[in-house]
Amino acid sequence: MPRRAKTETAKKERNAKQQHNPNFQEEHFVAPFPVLAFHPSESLVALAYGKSVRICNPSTGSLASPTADEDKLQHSETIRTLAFSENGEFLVSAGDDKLVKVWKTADWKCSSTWRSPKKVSSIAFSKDGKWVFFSNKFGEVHAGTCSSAPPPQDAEASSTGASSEPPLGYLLFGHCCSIVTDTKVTSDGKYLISADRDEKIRVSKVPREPEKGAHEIQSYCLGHRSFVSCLAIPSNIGASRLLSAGGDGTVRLWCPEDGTLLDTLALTEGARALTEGDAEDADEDPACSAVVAMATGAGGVVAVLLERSPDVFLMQLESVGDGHRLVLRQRLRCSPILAPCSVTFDLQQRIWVAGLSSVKTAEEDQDTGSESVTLFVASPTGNTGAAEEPLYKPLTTADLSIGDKRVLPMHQVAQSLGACFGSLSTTALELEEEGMTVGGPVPLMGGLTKRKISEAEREKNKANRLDKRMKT
Amino acid sequence: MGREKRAASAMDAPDRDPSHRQSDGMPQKRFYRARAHSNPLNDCQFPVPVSPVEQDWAEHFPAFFPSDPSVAPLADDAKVRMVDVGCGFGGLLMQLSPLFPKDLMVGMELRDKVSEYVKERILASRKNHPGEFENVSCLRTNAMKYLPNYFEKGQLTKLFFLFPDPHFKAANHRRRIVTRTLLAEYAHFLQVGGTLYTVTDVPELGDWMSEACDNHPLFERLTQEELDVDPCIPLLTTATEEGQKVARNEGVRCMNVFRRISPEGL
Ligand SMILES: C[S@@+](CC[C@H](N)C(=O)[O-])C[C@H]1O[C@@H](n2cnc3c(N)ncnc32)[C@H](O)[C@@H]1O
Repeated sequence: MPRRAKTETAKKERNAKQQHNPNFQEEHFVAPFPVLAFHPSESLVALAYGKSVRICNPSTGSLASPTADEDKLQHSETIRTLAFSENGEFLVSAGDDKLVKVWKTADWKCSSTWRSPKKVSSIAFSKDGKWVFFSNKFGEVHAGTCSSAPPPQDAEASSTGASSEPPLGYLLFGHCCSIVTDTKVTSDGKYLISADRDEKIRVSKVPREPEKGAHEIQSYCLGHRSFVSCLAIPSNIGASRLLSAGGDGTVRLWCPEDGTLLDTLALTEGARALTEGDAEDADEDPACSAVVAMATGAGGVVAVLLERSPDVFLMQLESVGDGHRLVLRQRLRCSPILAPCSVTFDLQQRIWVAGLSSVKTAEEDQDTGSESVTLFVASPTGNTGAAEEPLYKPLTTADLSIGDKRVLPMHQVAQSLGACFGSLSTTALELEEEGMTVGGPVPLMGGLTKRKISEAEREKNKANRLDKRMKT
Repeated sequence: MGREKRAASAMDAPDRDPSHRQSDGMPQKRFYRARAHSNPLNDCQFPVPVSPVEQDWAEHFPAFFPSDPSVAPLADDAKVRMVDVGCGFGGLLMQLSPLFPKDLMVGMELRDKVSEYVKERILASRKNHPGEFENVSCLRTNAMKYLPNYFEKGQLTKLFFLFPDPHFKAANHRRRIVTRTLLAEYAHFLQVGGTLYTVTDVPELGDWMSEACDNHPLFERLTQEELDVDPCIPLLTTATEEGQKVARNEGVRCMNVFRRISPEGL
């Protein structure tokens, strides 16, 4: 069957399904995108793309291939979120298959599996590394233990006749009728922060007994004018602070204790300033792009990725008086990545960006090859003071030794990791044939943007309302 | 997305057609009929303030926030203290108003027609009884979703849930307005010692609300002695349109009232 026709059928089927099930829209389809995480104390990077996770030691290039069967680090659907616990004992992965898998980093064996009633959107560990908190697209946040889960819920399994399923997590709280987009625990371990599609950030007290729920709300951080897409916890800046970013193209600094907004940086304005005089770039500037990912490093450095931008934006938390403010410092092209998706800092404070390197445009008729997962790494220049000097520079083959350690060429690391995902690019293509969007701009935020109803449309809806019609 | 910076004026009634009024200026309910239900889980299409500081209460309570500096406000530092969640046609607010003349109170109503009716009703009552009903108003909003946009932590003393929609089907229980997860929000906005009132004529929903509150660590049931001296209790079953309908039909009334507490070591 020609591809077009196939896509058409898929679309039709999807529409039929949509009509049948009104909740269908909540299950928006998003193509797979790469997700990165770095071990907090060892040289280990984890990369998820599609259904699998790969772990690599960037100093040796060796894949930490789990001696047991590698298939175990697998999910049955796309992985959306990945994190290491603060003590490095666990790695957790979760996503569209609604399963939360906690892996022991010592032997990469699965130490517990939890089930979520909906696709998992984000995960966070408790400070002590004993609990994992996971959010879903119904706006709920659940908790599960890391070391071992209670036995599978047999009652349910026997009644459905299915093989026993992993247990459902303990319900902590819910964001009513919203999608939780990100969760983080503050550096003091006291608060669990959750952000949602409705501009809201909730600060909940981490309960002593998570199995009984989190009933106490500490504050709300309100100020975003569009969905909140990501949260980050700045390290070592004294007081407990929170960073958030979202669809309004701003990064905001909060005091989670009382929900006070301390500073706002409008990225899109700042980004323009950074490219001033560079007419070529000004053209493709993200006019009002959503922030898709954010990470914090030492020295108050914050790295941010914007939707539809091939750059990573670096800002710094600068102390002023007894507080801090956000200053945009640098904009780095992540070539050859065209659509950066995930960003993280490693032990040497290098910035890692994972993204897709060949992005197809909608007009392109032929298959001009699938996109492949690519890494971009930048290392600190050592410059922290002067505002004019760049903070980071792309890591090239010339910069490959750090101290007396031999560091593997980044492209080799990328190859090692990327090779694992070779087959997955096909998966992306298959998904597209099923009528899902793949390729640039990465539709990460697709499901978060609300459908806008025009004034005219609203009037029409109003006029056609059942109660009105009955009157006339 | 698409929200205006300023919340819409409380008294912006788009079709304030004089023919919808009775001779005393009171709005006639039959012109404000709306469909029986609105789905509270749908995305909103009405303006909501970004945060409580952006909510303009002066438009709702001009006598408490006079624009003319030479006019003394009815009370200093007035704040909204009581909320009637899903206020319907506003019967409770009208009877609560004289009981707590210094406290501001709002009804939150999801259906726009119905909230327009309540606003008109309050305006007409203020006109007919100068100096009265200045402390009540109505917001067209989704109380399940937007309480944080209007109120600060511990601001409220009373929250009312009178004859809420029952949403019988198990699949729709998520739409119920008193649930375990929403109670955490209600607890956040109620000050310690504040009261949460619920009443329904649907025993199944009564049990549901009762159980949710009984199991919540931040709520404690009021004793009979406490209920006996609370002036709000009689209003729960008599003040609202729904309450009166139930009374006429001699339906059952399940009342459950709780206090916000603050236990140690959660
Ligand atoms: C059965 S009526 C009861 C009205 C009134 N309390 C009475 O006793 O007459 C329930 C009301 O709650 C409103 N409602 C339902 N969900 C709501 C929500 N999430 N936010 C605000 N109002 C809501 C409905 O529109 C309806 O008017």
